[in-house]
Amino acid sequence: MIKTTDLPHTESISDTIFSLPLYPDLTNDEQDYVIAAMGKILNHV
Amino acid sequence: MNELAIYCFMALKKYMADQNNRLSGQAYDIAAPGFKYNMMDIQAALGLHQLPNLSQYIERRRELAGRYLTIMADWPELILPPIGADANGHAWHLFAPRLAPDAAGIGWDDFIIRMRDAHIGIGLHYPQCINFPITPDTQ
Repeated sequence: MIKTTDLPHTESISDTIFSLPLYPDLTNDEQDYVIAAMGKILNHV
Repeated sequence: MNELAIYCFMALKKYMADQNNRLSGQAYDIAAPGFKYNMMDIQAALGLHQLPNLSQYIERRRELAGRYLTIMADWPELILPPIGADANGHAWHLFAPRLAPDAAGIGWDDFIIRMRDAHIGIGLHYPQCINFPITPDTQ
């Protein structure tokens, strides 16, 4: 039997990880939009 | 259908963890072991003609990953993906940072929803497989 507490690192990563847009046709402007939006949401100054 | 055929059929479908969850449109889940033999001739034909461009696709991915890493290098809100010893060999199939919970001041669910509200598609790669129905006796 696997208990969730057996895998604290897996749990921690799974609860915080996400993937950002990244594909060859993505333009620099689009990427800048992604970064700016993320900075606003995360209150990055 | 025999058991194998059933599993093949099941593998073709995406199983949503929770249809009522706002995140369920991207939910990644596995309900049973199976095989995904659904590459079609038309896909193979397209792939054959994309192969000569593979190097430039990967090079562009590296450029974009480099921009993310450079611009967000000093953001305490994020834990950026490690580059590793062989940076030049990285294809950047995914660019997957982590939220630094103490620094970000926003939960993961809220972050994903607010990014989607800004029309930015965020991938969920990857949830922990021990919560998939395929994994027995989790609690």
